[in-house]
Amino acid sequence: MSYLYTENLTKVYPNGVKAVSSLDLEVQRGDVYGLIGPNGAGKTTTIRILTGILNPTEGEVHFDGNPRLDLNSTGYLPEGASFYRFMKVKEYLSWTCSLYDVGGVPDRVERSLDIVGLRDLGDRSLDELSKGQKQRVGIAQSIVHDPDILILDEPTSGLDPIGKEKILSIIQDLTREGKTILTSSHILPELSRVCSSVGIIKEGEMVLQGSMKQLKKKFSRAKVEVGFESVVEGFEADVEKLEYVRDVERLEGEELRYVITVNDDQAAGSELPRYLLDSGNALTYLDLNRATLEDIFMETMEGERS
Amino acid sequence: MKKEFKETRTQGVIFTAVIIFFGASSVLMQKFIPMLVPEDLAEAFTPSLITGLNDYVSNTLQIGSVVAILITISAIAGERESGTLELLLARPVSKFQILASKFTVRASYVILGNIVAAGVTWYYAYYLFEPFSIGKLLMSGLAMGAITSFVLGLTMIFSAWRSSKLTVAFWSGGISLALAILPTVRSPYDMMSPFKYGDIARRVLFQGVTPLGYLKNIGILVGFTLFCLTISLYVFRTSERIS
Repeated sequence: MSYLYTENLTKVYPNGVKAVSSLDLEVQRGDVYGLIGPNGAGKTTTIRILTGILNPTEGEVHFDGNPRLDLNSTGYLPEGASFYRFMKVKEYLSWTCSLYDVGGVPDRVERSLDIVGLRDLGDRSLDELSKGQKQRVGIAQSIVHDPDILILDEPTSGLDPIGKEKILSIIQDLTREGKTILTSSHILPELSRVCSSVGIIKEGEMVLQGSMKQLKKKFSRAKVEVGFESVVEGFEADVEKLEYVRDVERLEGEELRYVITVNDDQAAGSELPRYLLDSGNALTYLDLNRATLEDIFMETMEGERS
Repeated sequence: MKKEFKETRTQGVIFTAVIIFFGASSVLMQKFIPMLVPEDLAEAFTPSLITGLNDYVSNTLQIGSVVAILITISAIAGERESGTLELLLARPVSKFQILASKFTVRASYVILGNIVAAGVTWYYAYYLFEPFSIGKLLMSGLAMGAITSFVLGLTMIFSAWRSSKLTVAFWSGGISLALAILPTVRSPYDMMSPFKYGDIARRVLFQGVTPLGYLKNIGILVGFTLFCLTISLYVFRTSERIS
């Protein structure tokens, strides 16, 4: 049984907008689960239902055999989180920790500051911090009580590349500690770095869900960009005849450069390069791009649209 | 609760300072206005402790209610406006605990502020006019604390309902005003206004009030306040407004 899962989760707002529709989500213990979807897909509403901030119109949330998420075992960071400006960093974390059923508050505060790399800023007022530092305080407040599960809504939103990198590396460290993490984003390259499984949500519905391995296997398409000094006559037609090749496209404005879409990424790495070298073409350049989370996402979205 | 005290301590100090100023100044003005105005006008003023204390009750109730609204509008609406409510709701703290801590902190400012103001007013009344029972003034202060706490409870309803502090101020100010006017309407509608029972703050100073009569009025005011808090809790629990 999954650690956290929902059954038929539906949320209709009082104005009639159906934000989430019959959503079944499954997160395994120790997973880093990425909830992916375009803006307005229902990610934040789903997260707010999971954390008990909103009540579902229909459906249920199950967590570790219980009918709802145990807030004492949950850390939460909302998108664009705001903190009490009149508090200092350590004071805020101590206050947060005091709301949970845990002891040893000063040690927990120091440890969480260490994890997010803000030990030196503990006595600084929250109002004086940069956006990136505030986001790290946000992570610190979500882990200060040592929760089993972390829910992070767009944790890298609005941060500069260095800030994003720091947050992603903190998430990776927390994963190594065995935390279960559910995070949402629409910035896919970031998620693909940290996630072990993903759920793609569109217009409130879960359209695809599974581990990254399963999804990559399912979408094992690869794109191979090749360049030649010369090619034999009928090159394009010959390549298109190969059983594992889906499509050959000549790049416009580029002399003898093609993008070959291959259905099987195993073949893209071994059989195709061998064929290109053995068939008398003067190959000068080859770049293999395996399916990324972005490709999976785009294909799922296009598939849904069609 | 600790966070609430820290967040609102300036407001508590402002509340106390304002009602001390208006309470004590009512007695001081009564004594010194004849000395401040031209001689021909001074004859029209006869300094009187009764008039001074009457002004003290009126000013404290009016100004105290306005300041009470101002310190309460931000209770929950302020958390929504600043975006901190979402994190607060995701903590293992019930909405009842959130509401109760916000009300308790503000009510303690209001009650303590009124008692301190009563003490300061007694000091000036005693030395500027004549020896006067401090017990009566403290009972009056406590009664004003009770009526002002009702105003806090009423404001809590709108703070739990809306996001904009201006809207909360509009609704709670408007309804408080309507309820304050209600006792001037003929019976039986005046019975529906807590301000009618708040008049005990004046009666305890100038008329004989039995302890039972005093406690009955305070009890009714507490009842009105608890009624407002129950509605606030219902509104807060059913509201899905986060920002």
